[in-house]
Amino acid sequence: MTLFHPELVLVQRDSLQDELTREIFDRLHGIPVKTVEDINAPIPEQNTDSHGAATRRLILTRFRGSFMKKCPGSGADICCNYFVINFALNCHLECSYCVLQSYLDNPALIIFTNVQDLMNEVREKLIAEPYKFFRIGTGEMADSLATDDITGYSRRLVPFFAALPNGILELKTKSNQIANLRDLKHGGHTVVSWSLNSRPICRSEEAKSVSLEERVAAARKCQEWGYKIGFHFDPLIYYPGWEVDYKEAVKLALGSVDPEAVAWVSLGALRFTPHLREMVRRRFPKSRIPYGEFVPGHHGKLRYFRPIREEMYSRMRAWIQEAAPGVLVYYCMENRTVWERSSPSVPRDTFDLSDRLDSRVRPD
Amino acid sequence: MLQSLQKIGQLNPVLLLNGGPERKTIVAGFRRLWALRGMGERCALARLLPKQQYSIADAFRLALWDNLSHRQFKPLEIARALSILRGICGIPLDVLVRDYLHLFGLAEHKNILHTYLELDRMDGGLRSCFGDGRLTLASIERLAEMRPEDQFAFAALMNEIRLSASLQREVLDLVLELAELEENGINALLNSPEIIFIQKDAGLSPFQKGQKIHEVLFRQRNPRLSRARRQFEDGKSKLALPGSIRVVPDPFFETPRLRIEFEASSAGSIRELAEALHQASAGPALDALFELK
Repeated sequence: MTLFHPELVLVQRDSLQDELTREIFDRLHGIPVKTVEDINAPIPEQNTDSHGAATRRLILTRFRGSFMKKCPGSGADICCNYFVINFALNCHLECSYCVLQSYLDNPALIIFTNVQDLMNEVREKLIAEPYKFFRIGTGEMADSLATDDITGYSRRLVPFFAALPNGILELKTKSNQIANLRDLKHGGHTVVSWSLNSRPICRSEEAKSVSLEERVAAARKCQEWGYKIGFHFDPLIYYPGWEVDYKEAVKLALGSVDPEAVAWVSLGALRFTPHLREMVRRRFPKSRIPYGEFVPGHHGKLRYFRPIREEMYSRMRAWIQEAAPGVLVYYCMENRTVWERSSPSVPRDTFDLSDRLDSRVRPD
Repeated sequence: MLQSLQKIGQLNPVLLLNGGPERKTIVAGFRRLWALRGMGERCALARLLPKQQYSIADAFRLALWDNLSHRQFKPLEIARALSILRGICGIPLDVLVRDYLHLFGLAEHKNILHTYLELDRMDGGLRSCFGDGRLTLASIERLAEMRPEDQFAFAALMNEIRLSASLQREVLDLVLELAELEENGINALLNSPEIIFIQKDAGLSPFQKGQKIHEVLFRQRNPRLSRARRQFEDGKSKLALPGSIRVVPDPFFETPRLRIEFEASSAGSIRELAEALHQASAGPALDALFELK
């Protein structure tokens, strides 16, 4: 994996008061640091490949809005009812299909240093609804662990969630940065998940992430440390010979861990906006993924033609059940028709799916 | 012009670049001189520009202004003029945008200039397609990015077919994506036997050929969607419903939902249509409409 080694750290003056800022400075010893008043002021290179610049710059700032939000799950008739907390924005791994490149216009990777505010907000929200169970992930706007060697965020969040009776944390990653997770008191309140793909896709479209084998090895290690594991085959990418490659990936992943400790496996076929598709064509001219058989769907988002998605889901589901019978499989951002045609058990609605997922991780 | 010269004679002198007693180059006034010659005149009023004081670039600018004063330029002429101003006269791009584009009635934007400069460099066949309105400026912009041999292949295609502006956009999208997808190149794609066969089909009008070529390319780019559409149309025809009943699927078959539409002006015709629907619903053809493969 390409490690995150910024060439410059820009720190907003307010952030200097935070302990996390000082810790990051220690870990990035020797890298130039510039203090700025306003992080939104124009900075050099802003007009160049702004997403690419995320590999070279780090911004430390305080987040002033609400950290915790409901996952949009746009277009899904049956949604997993997930919450996200954004501790960072952007990602240096630069997967070709990544939505962040069209979503964010930050010429840097941004880390929010007011981690205590984040935890206070989460605690207040969970206390306010004690009978509701929350599954909360940090992997929506950034990889949960790819920069953990620098931020050490997991060392704060995992013990914090261990003390929350009605919530679990999901750390979602394509990295093998798990060293911080060892010896943490997680209390069964943290699921460590890997976004997986077939070997050729890992190599060509996720080139800066670790290999499939390394992700699976990291998952096995986390399982040994008592963590529940999640796998997300998302985005599933359709190409000639996909069946062989994905079957192997499923076999490798689910054959390497104890199925009992697998919280869930999600499936999601590639989708993107027309704008993102054009960006992928421009930024990754060798990528073949923009040339799938797409049709416009909900909110104009492009998705594979429905029978293609149904075929992929049905077959993936069969391979998963063969490798790990009884593992809970769900679809991300799919409509009821697809569920009905490619799943033997269809949740009644979002609440039903949410209950099924909760039951996999809710502490007794 | 001929009538004007016959009635009131030559009002404005032609402009000649004076390179010596035997070498005079016409800068402006070709049509006037041609008309005077046609009238049998042996003399014409002329203004001589000393070659030492006027470069070729100066002469071109004079000719340009002279022409702009009494007529509108066609798009291909604009492309040529801008290209000469840039290449021979050496005028910087930003100056061309600021000082010249508006003279031709164009918006002052560097992309517009770029398109016209590209147009002048394009395959001659494509230029003539644009000149006679068969290609839009938007299409030209996209074709400009193609290799010369691909431009040539597209020009050959456009000589045989006609496409509306929206279909041009779609066909270009399909051609560019298929070329990327199949890695055979645009030239090979447009010279495939199926495309050539349609081009040469004497029984089709140029618009019908355009439509058919769009269908072929769409089918090639979207094989499963095209198959589903065919399957749906076949299934629909097996229902044998009267033409006044429309059966419409969900856009792109994202759900199996169908919409049945009909209009009736009497209770009797509603009964007839309901009976037709009732009969259609009894057979297996209806079930097949919901089984998309």
